Amino acid sequence: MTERSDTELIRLVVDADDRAAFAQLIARHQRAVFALAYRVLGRKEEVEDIAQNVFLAVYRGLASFKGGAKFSTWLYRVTYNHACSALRRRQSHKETQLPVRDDAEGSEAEIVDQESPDPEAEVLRGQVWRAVERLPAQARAVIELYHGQGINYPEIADILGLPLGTVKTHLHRARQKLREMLTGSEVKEREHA
Amino acid sequence: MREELKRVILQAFDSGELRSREAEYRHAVKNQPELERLLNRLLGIEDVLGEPESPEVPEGFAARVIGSLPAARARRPDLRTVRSLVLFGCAVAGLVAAILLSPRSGIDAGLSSLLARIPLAEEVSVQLTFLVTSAIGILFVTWLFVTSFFGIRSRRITR
Repeated sequence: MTERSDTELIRLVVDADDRAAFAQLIARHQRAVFALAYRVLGRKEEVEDIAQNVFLAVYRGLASFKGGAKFSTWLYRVTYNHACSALRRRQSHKETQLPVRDDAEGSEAEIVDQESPDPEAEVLRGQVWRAVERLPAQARAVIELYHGQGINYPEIADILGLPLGTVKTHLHRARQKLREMLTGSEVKEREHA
Repeated sequence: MREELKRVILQAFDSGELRSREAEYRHAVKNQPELERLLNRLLGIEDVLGEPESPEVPEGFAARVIGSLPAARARRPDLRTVRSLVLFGCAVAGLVAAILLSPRSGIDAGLSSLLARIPLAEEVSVQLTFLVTSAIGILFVTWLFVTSFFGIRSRRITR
Protein backbone atom coordinates (compact mmCIF):
# COMPACT_ATOMS: atom_id res chain seq x y z
CA MET A 1 0.00 0.00 0.00
CA THR A 2 1.45 3.35 -1.03
CA GLU A 3 2.16 5.84 1.72
CA ARG A 4 -0.26 8.75 1.92
CA SER A 5 1.12 12.16 1.05
CA ASP A 6 1.10 15.04 3.52
CA THR A 7 -1.75 16.64 1.57
CA GLU A 8 -3.87 13.50 1.83
CA LEU A 9 -3.22 13.17 5.55
CA ILE A 10 -4.08 16.83 6.12
CA ARG A 11 -7.33 16.40 4.23
CA LEU A 12 -8.26 13.46 6.48
CA VAL A 13 -7.53 15.46 9.62
CA VAL A 14 -9.44 18.54 8.49
CA ASP A 15 -12.47 16.72 7.07
CA ALA A 16 -12.84 13.82 9.44
CA ASP A 17 -10.64 14.68 12.44
CA ASP A 18 -8.72 11.50 11.69
CA ARG A 19 -6.34 11.23 14.66
CA ALA A 20 -4.48 8.31 13.12
CA ALA A 21 -3.71 10.45 10.09
CA PHE A 22 -2.41 13.21 12.33
CA ALA A 23 -0.28 10.67 14.20
CA GLN A 24 1.24 9.68 10.86
CA LEU A 25 2.06 13.31 10.14
CA ILE A 26 3.72 13.61 13.53
CA ALA A 27 5.75 10.42 13.06
CA ARG A 28 6.90 11.58 9.64
CA HIS A 29 8.10 15.02 10.74
CA GLN A 30 8.91 14.73 14.45
CA ARG A 31 12.65 14.20 13.97
CA ALA A 32 13.00 17.33 11.90
CA VAL A 33 11.00 19.35 14.43
CA PHE A 34 13.12 18.06 17.29
CA ALA A 35 16.33 18.79 15.39
CA LEU A 36 15.42 22.37 14.52
CA ALA A 37 14.04 23.15 17.97
CA TYR A 38 17.14 21.71 19.61
CA ARG A 39 19.46 23.65 17.34
CA VAL A 40 17.73 26.95 18.16
CA LEU A 41 17.19 26.30 21.87
CA GLY A 42 20.35 24.38 22.66
CA ARG A 43 18.74 22.54 25.53
CA LYS A 44 17.35 19.02 25.35
CA GLU A 45 15.08 19.59 28.35
CA GLU A 46 12.83 22.07 26.55
CA VAL A 47 12.74 20.45 23.15
CA GLU A 48 9.96 17.95 23.79
CA ASP A 49 7.66 20.63 25.23
CA ILE A 50 8.31 22.90 22.27
CA ALA A 51 7.75 20.08 19.81
CA GLN A 52 4.46 19.17 21.48
CA ASN A 53 3.32 22.82 21.33
CA VAL A 54 4.31 22.96 17.68
CA PHE A 55 2.17 19.98 16.75
CA LEU A 56 -0.74 21.29 18.80
CA ALA A 57 -0.50 24.61 16.99
CA VAL A 58 -0.31 22.77 13.68
CA TYR A 59 -3.40 20.73 14.55
CA ARG A 60 -5.36 23.89 15.36
CA GLY A 61 -4.15 25.68 12.27
CA LEU A 62 -4.54 22.86 9.77
CA ALA A 63 -7.95 24.06 8.65
CA SER A 64 -6.46 27.36 7.54
CA PHE A 65 -3.40 25.81 5.86
CA LYS A 66 -4.09 26.62 2.27
CA GLY A 67 -1.61 24.21 0.78
CA GLY A 68 0.15 26.86 -1.31
CA ALA A 69 3.48 26.04 0.34
CA LYS A 70 4.81 22.65 1.32
CA PHE A 71 3.52 21.39 4.63
CA SER A 72 7.10 20.88 5.83
CA THR A 73 7.93 24.52 5.09
CA TRP A 74 5.01 25.67 7.20
CA LEU A 75 5.90 23.18 9.94
CA TYR A 76 9.51 24.40 10.06
CA ARG A 77 8.27 27.99 10.26
CA VAL A 78 5.99 27.18 13.20
CA THR A 79 8.83 25.29 14.88
CA TYR A 80 11.28 28.13 14.41
CA ASN A 81 8.79 30.69 15.74
CA HIS A 82 8.00 28.61 18.80
CA ALA A 83 11.66 27.97 19.53
CA CYS A 84 12.51 31.66 19.19
CA SER A 85 9.63 32.59 21.49
CA ALA A 86 10.95 30.17 24.08
CA LEU A 87 14.42 31.63 23.65
CA ARG A 88 13.10 35.17 24.12
CA ARG A 89 11.27 34.14 27.23
CA ARG A 90 14.45 32.65 28.55
CA GLN A 91 16.62 35.62 27.88
CA SER A 92 15.98 39.28 27.20
CA HIS A 93 17.82 39.57 23.88
CA LYS A 94 16.13 38.57 20.63
CA GLU A 95 19.28 37.19 18.98
CA THR A 96 21.46 35.56 21.56
CA GLN A 97 24.21 33.06 21.92
CA LEU A 98 23.76 29.99 24.00
CA PRO A 99 25.65 29.57 27.28
CA VAL A 100 29.20 28.60 26.47
CA ARG A 101 30.46 25.42 28.00
CA ASP A 102 33.41 25.66 30.33
CA ASP A 103 35.90 23.72 28.23
CA ALA A 104 38.09 25.74 25.92
CA GLU A 105 37.09 25.90 22.31
CA GLY A 106 39.30 23.89 20.02
CA SER A 107 40.91 22.11 22.94
CA GLU A 108 42.26 18.67 22.29
CA ALA A 109 41.88 17.71 25.93
CA GLU A 110 38.52 16.04 25.47
CA ILE A 111 36.95 13.24 27.38
CA VAL A 112 36.75 10.81 24.55
CA ASP A 113 34.98 7.54 24.47
CA GLN A 114 37.92 5.24 23.82
CA GLU A 115 35.58 2.55 22.58
CA SER A 116 34.37 4.86 19.86
CA PRO A 117 35.49 3.67 16.42
CA ASP A 118 36.96 7.08 15.66
CA PRO A 119 37.84 9.09 18.80
CA GLU A 120 39.33 11.96 16.82
CA ALA A 121 36.14 12.34 14.82
CA GLU A 122 34.19 12.39 18.09
CA VAL A 123 36.43 15.18 19.39
CA LEU A 124 35.90 17.20 16.25
CA ARG A 125 32.18 16.57 16.38
CA GLY A 126 31.98 17.95 19.91
CA GLN A 127 34.05 20.98 18.95
CA VAL A 128 31.92 21.76 15.91
CA TRP A 129 28.59 21.66 17.75
CA ARG A 130 29.95 23.68 20.65
CA ALA A 131 31.09 26.25 18.12
CA VAL A 132 27.65 26.23 16.48
CA GLU A 133 26.12 26.96 19.89
CA ARG A 134 28.07 30.20 19.96
CA LEU A 135 26.34 31.48 16.83
CA PRO A 136 23.18 33.62 16.96
CA ALA A 137 19.85 31.77 16.91
CA GLN A 138 19.05 32.66 13.31
CA ALA A 139 22.46 31.48 12.12
CA ARG A 140 22.02 28.23 14.02
CA ALA A 141 18.65 27.74 12.35
CA VAL A 142 20.17 28.34 8.91
CA ILE A 143 22.95 25.84 9.62
CA GLU A 144 20.43 23.21 10.73
CA LEU A 145 18.05 23.76 7.83
CA TYR A 146 20.76 23.86 5.17
CA HIS A 147 23.21 21.24 6.41
CA GLY A 148 21.08 19.14 8.72
CA GLN A 149 17.84 18.98 6.75
CA GLY A 150 19.23 19.59 3.25
CA ILE A 151 16.80 22.41 2.51
CA ASN A 152 17.56 24.82 -0.32
CA TYR A 153 17.98 28.57 0.00
CA PRO A 154 14.56 29.67 -1.30
CA GLU A 155 12.77 27.37 1.11
CA ILE A 156 14.93 28.50 4.02
CA ALA A 157 14.10 32.08 3.09
CA ASP A 158 10.42 31.19 3.18
CA ILE A 159 10.74 29.41 6.53
CA LEU A 160 12.61 32.21 8.24
CA GLY A 161 10.81 35.04 6.51
CA LEU A 162 14.03 36.47 5.10
CA PRO A 163 15.13 37.61 1.66
CA LEU A 164 17.06 35.01 -0.30
CA GLY A 165 20.23 37.09 -0.30
CA THR A 166 20.08 37.45 3.47
CA VAL A 167 19.88 33.68 3.90
CA LYS A 168 22.96 33.19 1.75
CA THR A 169 24.79 35.88 3.69
CA HIS A 170 23.80 34.33 7.01
CA LEU A 171 25.09 30.93 5.94
CA HIS A 172 28.29 32.36 4.56
CA ARG A 173 28.98 34.32 7.72
CA ALA A 174 28.06 31.38 9.94
CA ARG A 175 30.48 29.10 8.13
CA GLN A 176 33.15 31.79 8.24
CA LYS A 177 32.71 32.23 11.98
CA LEU A 178 32.77 28.46 12.55
CA ARG A 179 35.91 28.18 10.50
CA GLU A 180 37.62 30.94 12.45
CA MET A 181 36.65 29.36 15.77
CA LEU A 182 37.68 25.85 14.79
CA THR A 183 40.87 26.48 12.86
CA GLY A 184 42.01 29.84 14.18
CA SER A 185 42.44 30.84 10.56
CA GLU A 186 41.43 34.19 9.28
CA VAL A 187 41.32 35.19 5.67
CA LYS A 188 43.99 37.77 5.17
CA GLU A 189 43.33 40.58 2.79
CA ARG A 190 44.92 39.98 -0.59
CA GLU A 191 47.93 42.25 -0.97
CA HIS A 192 47.56 44.57 -3.92
CA ALA A 193 50.57 44.69 -6.23
CA MET B 1 51.69 31.53 -3.16
CA ARG B 2 51.11 29.40 -0.07
CA GLU B 3 49.16 32.18 1.63
CA GLU B 4 47.13 32.69 -1.53
CA LEU B 5 46.26 28.98 -1.69
CA LYS B 6 45.31 29.03 1.99
CA ARG B 7 43.08 32.03 1.37
CA VAL B 8 41.38 30.31 -1.55
CA ILE B 9 40.74 27.16 0.51
CA LEU B 10 39.30 29.14 3.42
CA GLN B 11 37.01 31.12 1.14
CA ALA B 12 35.89 27.93 -0.59
CA PHE B 13 34.86 26.57 2.81
CA ASP B 14 33.01 29.77 3.67
CA SER B 15 31.04 29.65 0.42
CA GLY B 16 30.30 25.92 0.69
CA GLU B 17 32.34 24.93 -2.36
CA LEU B 18 35.12 23.07 -0.62
CA ARG B 19 33.69 19.56 -0.93
CA SER B 20 32.85 19.94 -4.60
CA ARG B 21 36.44 20.96 -5.38
CA GLU B 22 38.14 18.57 -2.99
CA ALA B 23 40.17 16.74 -5.63
CA GLU B 24 41.50 19.99 -7.03
CA TYR B 25 42.56 21.26 -3.62
CA ARG B 26 44.09 17.94 -2.57
CA HIS B 27 46.30 18.10 -5.63
CA ALA B 28 47.22 21.72 -4.91
CA VAL B 29 48.24 21.10 -1.28
CA LYS B 30 50.33 18.03 -2.01
CA ASN B 31 53.65 18.07 -0.11
CA GLN B 32 52.46 20.99 2.02
CA PRO B 33 51.65 19.32 5.37
CA GLU B 34 50.23 22.39 7.05
CA LEU B 35 47.80 23.07 4.22
CA GLU B 36 46.91 19.38 4.02
CA ARG B 37 46.02 19.38 7.69
CA LEU B 38 43.95 22.51 7.23
CA LEU B 39 42.11 21.00 4.27
CA ASN B 40 41.42 17.78 6.19
CA ARG B 41 40.11 19.70 9.18
CA LEU B 42 37.81 21.83 7.05
CA LEU B 43 36.46 18.77 5.27
CA GLY B 44 35.95 17.11 8.62
CA ILE B 45 33.93 20.12 9.77
CA GLU B 46 31.82 19.83 6.61
CA ASP B 47 31.14 16.18 7.40
CA VAL B 48 30.06 16.98 10.94
CA LEU B 49 27.69 19.74 9.80
CA GLY B 50 26.06 17.27 7.45
CA GLU B 51 25.34 14.81 10.28
CA PRO B 52 23.07 16.81 12.56
CA GLU B 53 23.21 16.36 16.29
CA SER B 54 19.71 16.01 17.58
CA PRO B 55 18.07 14.49 20.65
CA GLU B 56 16.26 11.23 20.09
CA VAL B 57 12.51 11.54 19.86
CA PRO B 58 11.20 9.98 23.09
CA GLU B 59 9.16 6.82 22.91
CA GLY B 60 5.43 7.51 22.66
CA PHE B 61 5.80 11.17 21.72
CA ALA B 62 3.18 11.02 18.97
CA ALA B 63 0.74 9.27 21.29
CA ARG B 64 1.22 11.97 23.94
CA VAL B 65 0.54 14.69 21.39
CA ILE B 66 -2.61 12.91 20.20
CA GLY B 67 -3.68 12.48 23.82
CA SER B 68 -3.37 16.20 24.45
CA LEU B 69 -5.47 17.24 21.46
CA PRO B 70 -8.86 18.84 22.15
CA ALA B 71 -11.69 16.31 22.59
CA ALA B 72 -13.13 17.12 19.22
CA ARG B 73 -12.41 19.59 16.50
CA ALA B 74 -14.94 22.46 16.64
CA ARG B 75 -17.75 21.26 14.49
CA ARG B 76 -19.17 23.85 12.20
CA PRO B 77 -22.95 23.68 11.67
CA ASP B 78 -24.10 23.02 8.15
CA LEU B 79 -25.96 25.64 6.22
CA ARG B 80 -29.40 24.13 6.66
CA THR B 81 -29.02 23.95 10.42
CA VAL B 82 -27.81 27.54 10.59
CA ARG B 83 -30.70 28.83 8.51
CA SER B 84 -33.14 27.01 10.71
CA LEU B 85 -31.50 28.42 13.82
CA VAL B 86 -31.61 31.98 12.48
CA LEU B 87 -35.25 31.71 11.49
CA PHE B 88 -36.14 30.13 14.79
CA GLY B 89 -34.27 32.86 16.62
CA CYS B 90 -36.13 35.55 14.71
CA ALA B 91 -39.42 33.88 15.45
CA VAL B 92 -38.68 33.59 19.14
CA ALA B 93 -37.47 37.17 19.37
CA GLY B 94 -40.53 38.40 17.55
CA LEU B 95 -42.84 36.38 19.75
CA VAL B 96 -41.21 37.62 22.90
CA ALA B 97 -41.41 41.21 21.70
CA ALA B 98 -45.07 40.80 20.75
CA ILE B 99 -45.98 39.33 24.09
CA LEU B 100 -44.20 41.99 26.04
CA LEU B 101 -45.64 44.82 23.97
CA SER B 102 -49.18 43.53 24.03
CA PRO B 103 -51.39 45.69 26.24
CA ARG B 104 -53.38 42.65 27.36
CA SER B 105 -50.26 40.83 28.30
CA GLY B 106 -49.76 40.36 31.93
CA ILE B 107 -46.10 40.24 31.26
CA ASP B 108 -46.20 43.61 29.58
CA ALA B 109 -48.24 44.99 32.39
CA GLY B 110 -45.87 43.49 34.90
CA LEU B 111 -42.86 44.85 33.11
CA SER B 112 -44.47 48.24 32.64
CA SER B 113 -45.46 48.44 36.25
CA LEU B 114 -41.94 47.45 37.22
CA LEU B 115 -40.54 50.17 35.06
CA ALA B 116 -43.18 52.58 36.24
CA ARG B 117 -41.69 52.37 39.69
CA ILE B 118 -38.69 54.05 38.27
CA PRO B 119 -39.23 57.77 38.61
CA LEU B 120 -39.82 58.37 34.91
CA ALA B 121 -42.76 59.71 32.93
CA GLU B 122 -45.28 57.05 31.79
CA GLU B 123 -44.47 57.63 28.12
CA VAL B 124 -40.83 57.14 28.81
CA SER B 125 -41.39 53.84 30.63
CA VAL B 126 -43.45 52.52 27.71
CA GLN B 127 -40.83 53.59 25.24
CA LEU B 128 -38.17 52.06 27.43
CA THR B 129 -40.07 48.76 27.45
CA PHE B 130 -40.25 48.81 23.71
CA LEU B 131 -36.59 49.68 23.35
CA VAL B 132 -35.40 47.02 25.79
CA THR B 133 -37.38 44.18 24.21
CA SER B 134 -36.45 45.25 20.69
CA ALA B 135 -32.78 45.51 21.63
CA ILE B 136 -32.83 42.02 23.12
CA GLY B 137 -34.43 40.64 19.99
CA ILE B 138 -32.05 42.42 17.64
CA LEU B 139 -28.99 41.38 19.66
CA PHE B 140 -30.10 37.76 19.69
CA VAL B 141 -30.67 37.65 15.96
CA THR B 142 -27.43 39.49 15.26
CA TRP B 143 -25.46 37.08 17.45
CA LEU B 144 -26.96 34.10 15.66
CA PHE B 145 -26.22 35.61 12.28
CA VAL B 146 -22.63 36.61 13.09
CA THR B 147 -21.61 33.29 14.64
CA SER B 148 -23.21 31.27 11.88
CA PHE B 149 -21.77 33.54 9.17
CA PHE B 150 -18.19 33.16 10.35
CA GLY B 151 -18.66 29.47 10.78
CA ILE B 152 -19.79 29.06 7.17
CA ARG B 153 -17.13 31.47 5.86
CA SER B 154 -14.16 29.65 7.37
CA ARG B 155 -15.55 26.35 6.12
CA ARG B 156 -15.58 27.66 2.54
CA ILE B 157 -11.94 28.72 2.75
CA THR B 158 -10.78 25.23 3.63
CA ARG B 159 -12.70 23.54 0.83
